[in-house]
Amino acid sequence: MTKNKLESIVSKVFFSKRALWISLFAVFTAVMVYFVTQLRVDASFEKNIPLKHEYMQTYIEYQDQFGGANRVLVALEDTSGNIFNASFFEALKETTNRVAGIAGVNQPQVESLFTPNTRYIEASEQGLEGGPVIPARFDGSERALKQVEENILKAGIVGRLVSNEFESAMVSAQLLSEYNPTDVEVTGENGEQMVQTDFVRVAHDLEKIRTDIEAKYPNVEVHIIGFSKMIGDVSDAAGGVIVFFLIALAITALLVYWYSRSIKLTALPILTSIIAVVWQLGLLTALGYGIDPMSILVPFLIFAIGVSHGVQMINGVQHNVAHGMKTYNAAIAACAALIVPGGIALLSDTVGFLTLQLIEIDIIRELAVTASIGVAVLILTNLLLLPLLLSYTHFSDKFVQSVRDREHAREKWWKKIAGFARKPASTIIIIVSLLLGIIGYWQSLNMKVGDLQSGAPALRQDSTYNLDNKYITDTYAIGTDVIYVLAKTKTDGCTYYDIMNNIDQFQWEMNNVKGVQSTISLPQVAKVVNGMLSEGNLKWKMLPKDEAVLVQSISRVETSTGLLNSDCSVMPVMIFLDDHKAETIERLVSAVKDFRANKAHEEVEYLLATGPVGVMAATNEAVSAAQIPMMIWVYLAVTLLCLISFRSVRGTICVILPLVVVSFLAQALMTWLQIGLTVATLPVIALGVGIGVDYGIYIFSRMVGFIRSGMSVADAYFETLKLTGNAVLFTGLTLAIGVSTWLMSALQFQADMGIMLTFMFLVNMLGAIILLPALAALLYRR
Amino acid sequence: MKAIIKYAFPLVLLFTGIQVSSSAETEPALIADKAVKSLLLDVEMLESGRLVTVGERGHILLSDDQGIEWRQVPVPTREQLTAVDFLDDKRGIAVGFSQTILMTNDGGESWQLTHHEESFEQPALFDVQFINGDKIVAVGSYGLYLESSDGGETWEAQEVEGLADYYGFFSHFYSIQKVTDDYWVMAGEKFIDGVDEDGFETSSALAAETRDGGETWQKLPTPYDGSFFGIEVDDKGYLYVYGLRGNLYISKDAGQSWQGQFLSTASGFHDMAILDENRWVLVGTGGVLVYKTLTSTDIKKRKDLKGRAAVVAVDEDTLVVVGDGGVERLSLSQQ
Repeated sequence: MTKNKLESIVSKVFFSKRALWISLFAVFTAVMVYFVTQLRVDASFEKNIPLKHEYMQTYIEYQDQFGGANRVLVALEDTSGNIFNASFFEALKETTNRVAGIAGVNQPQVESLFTPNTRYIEASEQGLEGGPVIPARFDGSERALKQVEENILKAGIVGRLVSNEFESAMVSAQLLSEYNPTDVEVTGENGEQMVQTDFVRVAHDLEKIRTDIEAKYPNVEVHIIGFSKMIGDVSDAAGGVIVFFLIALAITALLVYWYSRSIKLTALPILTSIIAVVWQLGLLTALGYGIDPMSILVPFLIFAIGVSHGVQMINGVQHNVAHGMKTYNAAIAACAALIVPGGIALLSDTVGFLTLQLIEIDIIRELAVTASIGVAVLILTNLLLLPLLLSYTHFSDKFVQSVRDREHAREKWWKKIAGFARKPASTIIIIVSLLLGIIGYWQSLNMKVGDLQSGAPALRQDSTYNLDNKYITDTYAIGTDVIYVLAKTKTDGCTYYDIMNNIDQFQWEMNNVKGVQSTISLPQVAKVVNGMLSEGNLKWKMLPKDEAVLVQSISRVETSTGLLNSDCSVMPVMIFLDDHKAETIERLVSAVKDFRANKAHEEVEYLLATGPVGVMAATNEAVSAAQIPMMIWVYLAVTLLCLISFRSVRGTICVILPLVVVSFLAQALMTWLQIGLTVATLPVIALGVGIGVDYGIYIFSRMVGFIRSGMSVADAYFETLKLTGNAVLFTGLTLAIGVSTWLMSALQFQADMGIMLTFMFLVNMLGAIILLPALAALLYRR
Repeated sequence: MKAIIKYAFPLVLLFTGIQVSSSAETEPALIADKAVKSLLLDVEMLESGRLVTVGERGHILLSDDQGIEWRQVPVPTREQLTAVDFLDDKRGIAVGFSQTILMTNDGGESWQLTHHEESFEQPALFDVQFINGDKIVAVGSYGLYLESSDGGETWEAQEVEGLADYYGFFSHFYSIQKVTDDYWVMAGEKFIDGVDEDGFETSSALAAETRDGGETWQKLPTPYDGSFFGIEVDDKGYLYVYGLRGNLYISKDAGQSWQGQFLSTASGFHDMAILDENRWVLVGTGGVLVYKTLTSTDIKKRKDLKGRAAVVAVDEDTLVVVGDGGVERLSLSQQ
């Protein structure tokens, strides 16, 4: 299709009925505004994990029985350094009751000194004696406290429910993913009574407990950790992004004004970009999605992309006006000139985002949907609505003259830059880029998978949550870095010595894997009970081969310990790790697989895995498995789009190769900045490539015409720069500014995403301006 | 060996109904980093100063620097080992569950299985004593009593008639000590010694002696109705028996009369080390450690309350203790 034909179609279909089109846009925008007011923040645990992964199948099947990874720990610290005083115990009792009362908490599994499942046992001449750690007649007196202190020691809960130094005590609770809000027993298929647990609400309930308890008991400080609390904090902090949005908006507006020297030309692209964001959020709500703390950044991205394409458009209009057209015709010409490259650029953004659908983690898929909708919307708002609006503007002769002067003034810069397409500069550029690419690739091999920091990596290291996490892991023996491997066997499996012995062997081998702190399993507890039953004689602390005796030992262990299910066909082995670094997790997982393949009893299946680290293991595996296919798909998609639009292999190479170098450099940056490949950072490179290709498309689509008309590459590049160079530079800047405000975020992953995207946008722009012409010079030699 | 396996296999099959692919008796112990922190039940010091400790999963560890560094040695079984004894710097024996008996001729570097028998009636050996180079006695659960007269090559089970309870059954024999070649003493679980006028069974802690090198055993009268876990003899021939709930009794007349020692702890005692004429140490459940001197009695527990199973003094001031938390090295002056 020739340019003129396209111009006439654009003119006939849209510009001749511009009032109608603009009012249609206005009506649709009004509808979308309504939907935006209905937008809700939507955070769920399941969305963050790869549900189809083998480990997560185990997780889903058994989470209600053994508690998934969704635990809440509330530690009460007595600031005097000792918990044995009446007021502390009152505070602990109140906290226990209030935590148990939170909707969505699995009540029977709540544990603290005050819950009935916290018991002690000891050996005496009469056999075994035991009882609740806090007796029913506990009155807070000196004597009663002394008794409780002894019972705590006997119960073996130091380090778990009471801190190692007795300065703090714990309330531990499991959250259900759905619960029955009424007290009526739900039977059979009556599932519709169940309500999804709202983790953000749980987090707020917990925060309320913290405020109340700390106000009522001045000697008590409360520390809270757990996934739901983390999600709550993340979503609260995510609200802070509105500030960054305003900052980005202000800076962008200033820059666009500096670029265009016209308030009208500044306001219009920003207006249409905001309309795009409104449409995006509105459509999202209309389609039934909420916005997640992770994808809350996507509207920024859309805004930034919108402004950058808008700048291309006002650049085109200005240029045409400067060359004597009326604004109406200038807008038609600019629209027709940009709708193809702009459309392709936005289409490749969309495709880049859609490749993220391949990753079987819902949160990334939602990010992909959110982003794809946004970019698709931009095709309408910024390639169509914007020129329609621009066609109404009017420029004074003075302004037109100043545009002309500025264009002229820039030419000496473009002359210099066009030199990149001439030898020897082009040769040097190619060699340096090649070296950078190699260094980047080499460094990218050291990129780590998973979260490299302790605590909640989504939040900053000095956030309340992470300080609480540090307090709890420092003062208690248990951390949150635990993985449960489920030993699954036949009904009553725990009454068979061979099965129990195999689980015991498994537990011991895992205990000896580097990075494992300790393990807990049913056989281990059965040994303790057997020793107790034999008058506490340590020599009897073993697994009885006589199954009649074995049964006696096991019958003392209740299912509330989480060590067995009701018919003891499933027994979790809890493995506590020193940290959750990917290599620690991988080492353990491969040890489990090795045991499973070579040493497992034929009637025992060792199922990976639940617990927080089980989820991390699955996520790490899914993320690292997705990385290469995702990159292949993104590159396939952008390559295909370039081939179609340029009908040139050489051209495609010129556009794609700079992107590849930058991708490697981005991964190297992750290595250097200690940013791990996670659910949050995985999509960044795909986004970076998808958006980064825009620059190349804008430059090359112009350049190829000049080359085909017989110009040398350097001359063609000079002409291209005159037309679009300014806009490309500007696009890079606006995009980078839009995302660099994320660096101020209270959320670590937003800051990580921000730094990565800023890097990719700026460096991709440099790649397009410097490396692309050098490559073209090499490939289009005469 | 063959005969034992032949006997053991059908038994296991009978009780589990499944094929045994890997069970404790056929697999050598796993050499593991954390063996030094595993459950260890006895420790012995050789004349050379080498320490040997044994425990769960067939763990045997050696130390040649008074218990600072330990290294695990290969052992052909994963059975729980409960006791170890050495004749001299080279020849030693370790016993454990499934009547496991292991012998060494190189100071504990390597071990050979010489006896192993799965038995639900008498599952475990709890103590072992070299009488001389040929004669060795091992005792265990429900009156288990094995004797070897060829230095541990072959073993013969005996029923110690003199120690049967009121009904003709046996309680656990926990500890055996040689005083002279012919005079040995034993301590063990409480046994039913009669029925009172109301028809209730009465029981008594087990302490016993033989004066004829194990031909016949006689019960000694004891003042306690709970269980004893160990017996010790000092240079003067005084007997010390100790057991459940802080009970320690001393006899100066070879067990005819006993003086109860009041120690303010409810922990059971598992092992004793007599340091010299005036000082001794007891260790036991809850990680208790009692240090008695002429003028003082000091009772402390491990902070984590992990049980202590055995103690040996490596010099005037230093104890090596083993138990639920693995090996520990303690200084008495800093206790």
